[in-house]
Amino acid sequence: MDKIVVDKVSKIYEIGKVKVEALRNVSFTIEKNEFISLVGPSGSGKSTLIYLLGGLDKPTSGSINVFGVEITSLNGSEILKWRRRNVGIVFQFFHLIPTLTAIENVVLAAELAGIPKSERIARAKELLDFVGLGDKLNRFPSELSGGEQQRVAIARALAGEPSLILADEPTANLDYSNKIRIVELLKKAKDLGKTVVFATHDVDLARYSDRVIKIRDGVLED
Amino acid sequence: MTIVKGSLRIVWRKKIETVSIIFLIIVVVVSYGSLVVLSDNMSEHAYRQFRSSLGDIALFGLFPENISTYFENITGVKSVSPLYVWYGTISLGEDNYPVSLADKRYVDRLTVFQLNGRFPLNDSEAIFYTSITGGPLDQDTILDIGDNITMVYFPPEGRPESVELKIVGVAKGFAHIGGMDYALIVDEDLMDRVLGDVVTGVGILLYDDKLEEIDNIAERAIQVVEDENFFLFFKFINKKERNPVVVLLESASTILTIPISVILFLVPVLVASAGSALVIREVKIVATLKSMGMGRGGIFKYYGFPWLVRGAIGLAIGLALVPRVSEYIYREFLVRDSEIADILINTLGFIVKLDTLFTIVSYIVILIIIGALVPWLIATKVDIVRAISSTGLYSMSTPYRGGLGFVKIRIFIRDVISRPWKLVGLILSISILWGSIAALNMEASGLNDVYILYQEEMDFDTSFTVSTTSYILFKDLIDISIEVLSGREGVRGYAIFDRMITINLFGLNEVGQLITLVEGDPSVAFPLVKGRYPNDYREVVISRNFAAYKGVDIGDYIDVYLDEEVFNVKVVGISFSRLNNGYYLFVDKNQYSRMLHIEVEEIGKREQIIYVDLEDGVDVELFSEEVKEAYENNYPVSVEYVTKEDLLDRLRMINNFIVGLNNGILFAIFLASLISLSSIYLVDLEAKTKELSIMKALGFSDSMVALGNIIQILLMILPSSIPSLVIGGFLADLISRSGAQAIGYLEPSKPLEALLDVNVALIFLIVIGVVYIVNLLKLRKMNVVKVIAEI
Repeated sequence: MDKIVVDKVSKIYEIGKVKVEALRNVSFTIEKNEFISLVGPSGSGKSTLIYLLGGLDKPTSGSINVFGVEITSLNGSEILKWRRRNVGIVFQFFHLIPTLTAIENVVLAAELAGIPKSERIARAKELLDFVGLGDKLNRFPSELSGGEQQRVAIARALAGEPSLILADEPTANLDYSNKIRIVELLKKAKDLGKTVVFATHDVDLARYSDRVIKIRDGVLED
Repeated sequence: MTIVKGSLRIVWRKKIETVSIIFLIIVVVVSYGSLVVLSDNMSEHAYRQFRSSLGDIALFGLFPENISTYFENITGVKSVSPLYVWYGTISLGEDNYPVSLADKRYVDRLTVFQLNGRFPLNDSEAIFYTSITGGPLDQDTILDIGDNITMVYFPPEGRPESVELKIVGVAKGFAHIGGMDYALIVDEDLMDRVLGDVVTGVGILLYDDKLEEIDNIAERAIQVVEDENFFLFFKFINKKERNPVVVLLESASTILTIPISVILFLVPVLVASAGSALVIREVKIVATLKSMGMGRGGIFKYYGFPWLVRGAIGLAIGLALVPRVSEYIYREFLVRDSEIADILINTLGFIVKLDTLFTIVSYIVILIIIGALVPWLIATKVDIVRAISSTGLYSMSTPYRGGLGFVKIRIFIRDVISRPWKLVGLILSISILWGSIAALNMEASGLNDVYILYQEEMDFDTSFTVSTTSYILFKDLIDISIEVLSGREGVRGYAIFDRMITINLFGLNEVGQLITLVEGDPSVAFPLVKGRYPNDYREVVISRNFAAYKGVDIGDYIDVYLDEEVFNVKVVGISFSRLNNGYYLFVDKNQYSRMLHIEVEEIGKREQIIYVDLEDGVDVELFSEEVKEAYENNYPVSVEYVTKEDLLDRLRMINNFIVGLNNGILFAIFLASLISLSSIYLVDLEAKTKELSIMKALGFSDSMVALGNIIQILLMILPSSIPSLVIGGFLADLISRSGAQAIGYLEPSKPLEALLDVNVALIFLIVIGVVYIVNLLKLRKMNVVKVIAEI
């Protein structure tokens, strides 16, 4: 199956004695090589959906099938292996490993995805060139600006040659020019054949995508 | 590899953690390792000196000069040497001093013989030799080159003779020649004249690869002596693990190594505490790594490997220091004579065994891995979604809700209660420090009890060792002693005993005594705690501390060993006396004769130990001197006396020595605990930089935060008291049991008093003060604006 199918997915978080319904009976489909914007305000359930699509969390009910793999039925180690090879994630706060240089952050992801050793460094250089950081390969995260760190994070997400890129508010902490640059990079990732899911609260940026899915209070809007 | 590279950079970037653990490991490795290496060398040196001077099998008695030829056909024997050693007394003015006699043939076998002067060239010259434990003959008498002395000796067969000797050399060494502190090294001709046509011992050296068969070879050698009807009065099989001096030294060294080993446990405590603080600080990075598909192995590489690298650095520095520190302690605090130490170390070397190093390395690596498992476990439990979506500054879990007092104090109380690994780290660091002090206090209290026991419970005021020095007895020794003591003015009571020095009587390779009453009231020397004195076969009195050590009581049966025989005897009495550290067996005469295979009539005829209780007001020293003269001036006997005061002085000296060593150990434990506690807080402050910056922005002063952390330590003192008591009791018991052969079993007592000692309060005050200053310095360096800008 060459698509992502989210079927009647609900997610309830239990924080102490309080139950928070993050997603309510959500269903949608994403075609392969589609660039989807997931748009909604803070607390709408965008991040939860990203986590569920990436197998970082499991829905309370419903199922998710990603390109033929029923990820909701995989166990811990199976989902780990699946994620290494199929998913690249970009976070809002970049979360680069501070003790690794830009190129090493990318190489690490390639290593985890099982990319052959001989190809890792060349691939990492290629990806950092792709995001415009070919001249800052050996900089540590603390030596890069926010926009640069997020571009490294995108290169890292692409390092394992995943079919699915999940970006959770990757532009939220950046200035306007960097925001545009990041979204353009995600679009270029789509051009490389990736399926991209881009969570954002910024409607303007959503216009770069092929399709917009709106979400509010855990429910999809028409 | 990339993750390993990243983890290696953590070692450099997280400097506080790196410096703390490296420093702690250096202190731990140097303190523990030095004492272990010291112990290895002490026992190795003792064993090799024994082997060099006495061989592997030493037989003492009276043998023909060609004794060596009798053992030539025994397989495994490398060489056989006759031993020329005898006894005499030297007279200086009015005083007589017992000495052993030997010549160059014996001296050549000694490892350490530091001679000032020359060897005697004729039978009117001698060297005065002092062993490592012998000081001047007495306070006013120091023999020197050029002095003239009179030496009286009692030949094995014949009448006493005296010789005028000129001292031509003064020597010192490690060995006790003939078991004595002092010896005269005389010309070979004179030695031959003293001994006649006999030698008094034979040392048999085996090939190294035959040492495993030492028991069988010894059996065959003894058989040869018995078949030839030679007079054999003592045999010594020098197996390292059964050599009583080696066993005693190893037991003594455990008094040092056991308390110091406790600081090993600070290593995993610090790694766990600091490591978990780092993981909590970097929870989002952990979540990111996991989201990228990193498994448990990768997480361990990233968060566990740095600790192993730091451990390796600490180990390398520590191990490099161990031989030097160990050798320094050996020279300065144990040998305490630089010339002897030089000869000893130059001859025998100062070895650091590979297996000792391997053991230390294994301990540290295992303890680091155990410690690193804690942050790893926390990291593997990190919930990716929760960690990444969390906007909190620091805390992973919901803090504990309760708490009393002001809100600003509540912050610190909740902080420590909500973070189990910080809590455990603090409690364990405090408990290890407190427990160790308590254990050492208990040991000191036990030593003090021994002193008080001797002072208050033992009736005797002075004791005499009376030995016949001639094989020809003109009068019964028992009659002589009764004549000397009965009716003597000032004597309230006395007891005459016969004794046999034993090795391994209780199966512990200990040096002990088998004792029986010859005449008088035994309570003068062996006051009973309970039970009665033996009056039949198989009945024995044992010491209170041996009874406590073995858990034996009245009515119980114990096995005792003499040579190859095992005797099952019944305990009928328990005595206060701590003679030979409590390793004595007081038996009935019949049992004594049965165990030693001698006639009952022979008991007390060649050697006696006499304890005398004096009337109040009698000058003990003067009385003892008069008794000695009464014997020696009239009979062929040698008398040595030890007053109760001498004994108390020796006990006091031993106690002070052990307490001094304990203070050294305590300093190392204190230092390690201080590093551990300070590091926990430094790492904690580093981990909470963002939280603390906000607190400072809200108006918290540096001293308020530092004080809050001190409140945490103070709060932890009460819950630490229980583990401290457990650790202290366990350690004290372990020290007592392991050190039993060296200083006798000291039953751990007064644990609460040991825990609440004034030194404890002082040490805690210093610890708290240092931690406060360390906190303050760290907080002052914190750049609030920069940290808040990065949030």
